Amino acid sequence: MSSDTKTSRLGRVTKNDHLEYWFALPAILILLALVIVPMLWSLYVSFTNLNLTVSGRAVEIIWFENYANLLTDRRFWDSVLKTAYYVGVGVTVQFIIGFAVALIMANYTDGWLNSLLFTVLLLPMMMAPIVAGLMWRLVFDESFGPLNHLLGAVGLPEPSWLSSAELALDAILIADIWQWTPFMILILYTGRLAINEDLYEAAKMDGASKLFTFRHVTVPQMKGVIAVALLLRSMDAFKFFDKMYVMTQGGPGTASELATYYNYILGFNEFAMGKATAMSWLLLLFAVVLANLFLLILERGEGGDRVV
Amino acid sequence: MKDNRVSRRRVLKATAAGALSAGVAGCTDFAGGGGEELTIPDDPDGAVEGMELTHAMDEGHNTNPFDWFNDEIQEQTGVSVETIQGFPPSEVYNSLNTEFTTGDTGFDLCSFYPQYLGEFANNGHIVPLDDMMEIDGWDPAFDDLLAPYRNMYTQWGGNTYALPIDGDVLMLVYRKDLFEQHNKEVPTTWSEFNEVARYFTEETNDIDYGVATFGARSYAYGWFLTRFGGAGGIYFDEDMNPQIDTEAGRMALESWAETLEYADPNSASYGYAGLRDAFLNERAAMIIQFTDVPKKAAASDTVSDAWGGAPVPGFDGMDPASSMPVGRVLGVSNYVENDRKLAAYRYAQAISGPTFSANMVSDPDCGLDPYRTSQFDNPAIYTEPNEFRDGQPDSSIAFSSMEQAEEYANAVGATLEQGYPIPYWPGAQNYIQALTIEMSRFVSDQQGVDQTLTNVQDEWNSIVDELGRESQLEAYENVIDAWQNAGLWPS
Repeated sequence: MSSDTKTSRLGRVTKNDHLEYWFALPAILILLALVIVPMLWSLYVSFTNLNLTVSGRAVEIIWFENYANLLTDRRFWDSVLKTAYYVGVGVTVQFIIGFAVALIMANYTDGWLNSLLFTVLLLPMMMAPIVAGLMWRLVFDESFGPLNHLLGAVGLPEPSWLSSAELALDAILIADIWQWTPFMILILYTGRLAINEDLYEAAKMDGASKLFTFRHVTVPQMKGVIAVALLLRSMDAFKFFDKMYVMTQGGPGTASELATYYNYILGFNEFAMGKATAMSWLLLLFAVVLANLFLLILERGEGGDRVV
Repeated sequence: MKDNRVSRRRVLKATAAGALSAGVAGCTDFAGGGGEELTIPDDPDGAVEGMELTHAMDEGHNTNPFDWFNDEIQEQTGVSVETIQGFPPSEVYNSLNTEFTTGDTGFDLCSFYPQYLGEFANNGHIVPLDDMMEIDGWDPAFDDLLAPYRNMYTQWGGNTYALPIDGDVLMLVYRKDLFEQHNKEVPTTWSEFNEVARYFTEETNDIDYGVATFGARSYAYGWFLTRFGGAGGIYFDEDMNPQIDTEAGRMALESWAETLEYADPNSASYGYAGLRDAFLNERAAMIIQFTDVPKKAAASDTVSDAWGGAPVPGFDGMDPASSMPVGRVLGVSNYVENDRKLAAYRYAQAISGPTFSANMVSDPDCGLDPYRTSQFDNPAIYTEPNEFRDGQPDSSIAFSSMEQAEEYANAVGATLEQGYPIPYWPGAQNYIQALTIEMSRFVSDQQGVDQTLTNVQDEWNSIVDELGRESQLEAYENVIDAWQNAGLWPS
């Protein structure tokens, strides 16, 4: 084969105006097969009465009946509200603590102390969530747990952390805050280091107070980083499952049952696949709407600049 | 000149069509529906010789017998369990059903709770065992089975689908030493039970609480059904209308609510282990628990000589009832090759049989409970070591004296006579799930008596409608026949 022939073939191929689509084709195929088709399939299933525990029944399209049943289901709304509480309180607390620690580390500590702090603070994040859940279940154990032992030793009440309908979800929240606040610290610390120190110098020369500098230099400069950190943690918290599963399995009763766990029960305990997929779509819808609202609020709060 | 360019639309159309057809082809078969029909070869013993099985079951101490007896069973039958595929006890249904619905199981033999029997059998997931039971030397010794296991928890649609390995029923376990010390009689009614609970919680410092109760979602329904059955409750009427929001349901919950006033406050999170340990660690003077707990008590450092066992109480002037949640049976997957089905049955038949099961139910290092007549007729088995464990350790002896062994056998036997069967027809899991979550909410004080009864009633009605009222009624009537044959349901 002559080099001229090779060149002419290559030339024909590269002259193709839509060559980029051929290059993208494998990725498109994989995306379709692994994401788009299953999603479309699940959308179809959500309009059916498919239940894998009932043999011999024809699968019928019931359109929006599964959605209607869920939207009038007390347990569904209960789990969604608990998820909202979990995401709202959990991420907010993680952000406040994380931001404070990140600023302290950026402004007041350095060198070996920062290295030590990072090592210690990152340890929880390196732990598998299941292991963290098991560990915290022991910590909160009402009879033998070290927490109640310490509380009792100083004369404080010893709450039934995981047996109380009022405390169970908060106990899981504490475990999650412990594990994921370091993530906030890491992201926000690097965001703070990326700010040009000249801005702080200028603010100092103009006689700006620390609070004023924080509000008008630090926060605006870190807006993008803050948005990414909050979004990542919110999305992660929204699909939270593992620690709740090992610590309470949604109990006592349904006191700590988040939407993901109820969805799991519908799919893999009741095998009501139509209803379970409908719930997945509703949760996806909620997540998309909330994420966009969140970004919109952040953008409007700072004069309409895009934050991500 | 021919234009060789491919339009964007054509690329996307071809891609979408290919992916869609691949996806649809992979997704159209929703449920298993059963494998090939079993055939019995001329030499079944030869066919199973050397077979190594995978057994799926809840992990924990109940996997021990499959280790203790494996070599001996292999020697006797040629079959052994090579791998145990374990999962958490609360995930038995999810794990098995997920594999079953794919129509291709990774296990040959599986252990499950009888409440799933009707569904697994009806959906063709497990093999009818009747033909294999007729093979010479493969008899499962059903004559020796107690009626509930012979007529109820192994049968569906006129066929035998499972062999028992565990005979769970709820019984009363109490601190005999404290009862004697405080001149308290063993309660025979729920009002006496609550009074004793109040006394030990409020009037003595010898123990933290008079009682602890099960509150976790897994099996809280069993603790309700024990009182509900004792109050004369039935599940459905002749039109498949739920009968939970009735006088019987109210009696059961009001009595339970009074118990909770004096109960260990951690009860709401107590599952099997938590409740057992509340007794073994001397937090509670009495508990209603599964029948393996006396064996655990006798083996403990704390209450080994201080426990007593008795049937659960009843309501004044009414027959008491003990619900029969959990229990375990062995079934054979319908999605494995013919010879593996035979081998799985052969192994199940051996381990469920009188010889191995006597050593199994009397060994406190597992939680399996008696289910054969011979295990009650001869309480001495509970004072002897497990002959199949290496070195026959003392830890395999359940009770140190015949007196304790007889008390145990008598209490469990009497409890089984007042057994209250749990639903096990196709769809039963849905009713049990709804019931147990509402009961767990009740125990954790998230709702009161009225709300709990209303919720269960509404949810059960929805489930009946969802699964089909007529088919559910037919299935329910079938199991009532079996319950009546076992002598556990009013005619």
